Amino acid sequence: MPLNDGDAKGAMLHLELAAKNAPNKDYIHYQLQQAYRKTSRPLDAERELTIYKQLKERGNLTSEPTQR
Amino acid sequence: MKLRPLFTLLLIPLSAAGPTFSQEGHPAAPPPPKSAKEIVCKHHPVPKLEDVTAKMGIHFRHTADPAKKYILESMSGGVLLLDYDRDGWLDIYFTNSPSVEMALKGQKSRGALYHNNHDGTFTDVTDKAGVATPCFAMGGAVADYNNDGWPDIYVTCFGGNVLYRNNGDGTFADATTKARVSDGRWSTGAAFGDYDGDGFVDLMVTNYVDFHLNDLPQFGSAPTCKYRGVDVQCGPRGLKGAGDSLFHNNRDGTFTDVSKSAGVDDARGFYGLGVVFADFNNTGRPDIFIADDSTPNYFYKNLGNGKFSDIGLESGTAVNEDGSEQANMGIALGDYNHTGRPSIYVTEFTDEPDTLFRNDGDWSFEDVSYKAGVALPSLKWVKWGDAFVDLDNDGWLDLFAVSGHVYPQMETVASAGGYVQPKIVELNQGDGTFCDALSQAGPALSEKRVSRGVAVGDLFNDGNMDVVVEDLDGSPMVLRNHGIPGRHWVSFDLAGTKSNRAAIGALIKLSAGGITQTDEVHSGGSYLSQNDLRIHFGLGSATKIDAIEIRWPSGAIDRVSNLVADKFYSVLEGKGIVPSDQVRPAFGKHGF
Repeated sequence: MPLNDGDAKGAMLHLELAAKNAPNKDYIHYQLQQAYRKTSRPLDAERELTIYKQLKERGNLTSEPTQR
Repeated sequence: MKLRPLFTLLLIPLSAAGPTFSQEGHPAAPPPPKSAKEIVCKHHPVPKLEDVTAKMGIHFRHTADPAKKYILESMSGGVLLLDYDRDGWLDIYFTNSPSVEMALKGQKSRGALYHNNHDGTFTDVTDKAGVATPCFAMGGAVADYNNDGWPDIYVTCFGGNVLYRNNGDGTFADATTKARVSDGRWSTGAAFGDYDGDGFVDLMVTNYVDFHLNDLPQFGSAPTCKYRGVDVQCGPRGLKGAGDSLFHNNRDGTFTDVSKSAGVDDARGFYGLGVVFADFNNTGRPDIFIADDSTPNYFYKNLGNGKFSDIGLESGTAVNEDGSEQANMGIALGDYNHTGRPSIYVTEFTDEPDTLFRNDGDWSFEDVSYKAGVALPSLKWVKWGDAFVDLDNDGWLDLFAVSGHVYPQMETVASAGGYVQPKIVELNQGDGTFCDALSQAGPALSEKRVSRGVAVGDLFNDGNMDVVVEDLDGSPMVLRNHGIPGRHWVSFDLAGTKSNRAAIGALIKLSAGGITQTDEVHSGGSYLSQNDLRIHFGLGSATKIDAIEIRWPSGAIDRVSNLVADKFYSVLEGKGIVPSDQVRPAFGKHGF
C-alpha cells in the first residue's frame, strides 16, 4: 500500500500505468490525484481530479437508482 | 489505497476490478485488503463500562414504530450532555420523535431532561424546564449563543427546529421565532461555532432529505425501497436532498441566514447528517466538516472572509480511498496520534468500514482505516454516534461507536448483521493502531440494541469519561466507566471573555508525562449529539501537568504551568486558572 506507507512517488508510477491501462476507472484517477498532491504536483492533481469528477458524473447518470 | 484493484488493473488491464454492484445497483465497497487484520486487545488493560441506566433513575424511552416504514422513523435519537444549571455536574437531554402515524394524528413524543443529583442518581426535570415537546426531534447541539454564561440548547427537528434559551433559573424559553433559526426542513445535525471570530457563536445546520407527511414514499415501492431483495423503507437515495443552513449570530439574539453567501448551502443536495466546526489546520479559524449519507462529505475550509470553500475531494475526506462515497453518519474528531492536528473518524453503513481520515497537515488527509485496525471491527454493522475519548486515561484517545440497522426487516437476514447490533470499543495502542476491546469492556457493550446518538463526558466527576447512548427503540444506555486504577487525569472548564462564553473553538495544548496532547472545545458532532464541553485529558502515570497553553477563539493565548493532576480546573480567558464561581454566571441572570 504505497500511499499508506508514505511512498506516494512509488504509488504514482503504478497509478499512472493503471490509468493508462484502464482510463475509465474513476478510482484510479482519484488515487492518482492524491498521489500528485502529496508529491507537490498540484496541476497534475487538478487534472486527475477533473477526470475523476467527469467519470463519476458519467457513472451516476448511467447506473441504476441505488439504495444507501 | 488498496493494491488489490490496482494490481489487478496492472495485470489485467480492462478487468472489472474496483467497485462492484449489488442487486440494487449500490456500489458495494471492495473486500478488505488481504493484509487487514483484526487486532484484539492483549496486554492492554481494558476499562469496564457498566450499564447504570436503571440505577440512575433514568426511565426515558424513545418512541418507535416497529415496522419503520418510513426513513423518518429510523433516524432520531440524539443525546446532549450539558451542565444546564452550572452546578458543575453534567445533566442529560434525550430527544424523541413520534411515529409517522402519530404525527399525522397530531401526537407528539416527549424528550427528557435529567438533572444530575451528584450522588449517581438523576431526576427528571423535563416539565419544570419546559423542554418536553419541542418538535419531531432528531438531535441537537449546545452552546451559549447570547454569552450570558448559561448553556442553551438547539434541537433539530423534522419540520422546524427549536432554540431553547436557558433562563438561568432551571427553565428554558423558546427563542426560535426571535432568533430566526427554525429552518423548517428535516434537520438532523447542528453545531455552533464562531466562524467569523466576532465573539458570538454562529450555527450550522444540516438537512437530510426533502420529506413530506402528505407525500410519503411508499414502503417497498421502488428499487430504492428494497435492500437485499427485501421490501424496506425508501431513501435516502431516490429522494431529494434538502440543503443546509448557516446562521450568522447578529449579537442581539437574532441570526441571519448566510448559507448561500458563505458557500455552504449544499446546492448539490447531499444527505446531511453529522456536522462539526473545527480548526483542522491551525489557522485560528474554524472550518466545517459535514458527514453526508450516501454522498460525498463536505470539508468547508474557512477562507476568513465570511466564505468557505469545499475541499472535500482535494483533502481526501469526501470519499473513501477508492474514491467511493459512503453512507456517512457520525463524526468524531481527535488528535489520536499526538501530531497537534485533529483527525476525523466517520461512521458508515453495513459492509462499509468506519473511516479514519488521518490529518497529515496542510489540508491533507489519508484514509488509514485498515492500517489503523479500525475497519474490520466495524465492517459488519450500521454505525452512528461516535467519539474519540480516552477511556483508560493513558493519554491516548480511544474510539467508541454504536450501531443498529435502519431496517427491522434485516433481523432475519443474517448477512446484513441483524437489526439489533453491539457497540464498538477500540483502544489506542499509541502507535497509530487501535485494538478491539469489545469482549473485555463489559457485557453491556455486547448487548445488541438499535442505537443512534452517543455523547461522552464525566457524569460522576470521578475522572473517568462515561458514555451515554440513545437508542431508537426503547431505553437509552448510560455506561459508567470504572477506569483503570492508578491512571491520572485532568479536566478544564473554559469560559471566554472576549471569545464566546462557552469557549467553543478554544484549543488546549497540554504537556505531561513526556507527551503533548491537544483538544478543542466542540459543539455538536458525533451523530446528532453533544459531548461534555469540558476538556478531559488522560495522563497515564503522570501526577502533574508541566504546562498548558490555551488558544482562545479571539486569538489570545493563556499559559499555565505546574498543575497537579486529578482535578477539575476552571479557566477564564485572560486570567488563567480561577475559582469555579468565576466561570459560572450568577443565578437567574441572563442575556438577550
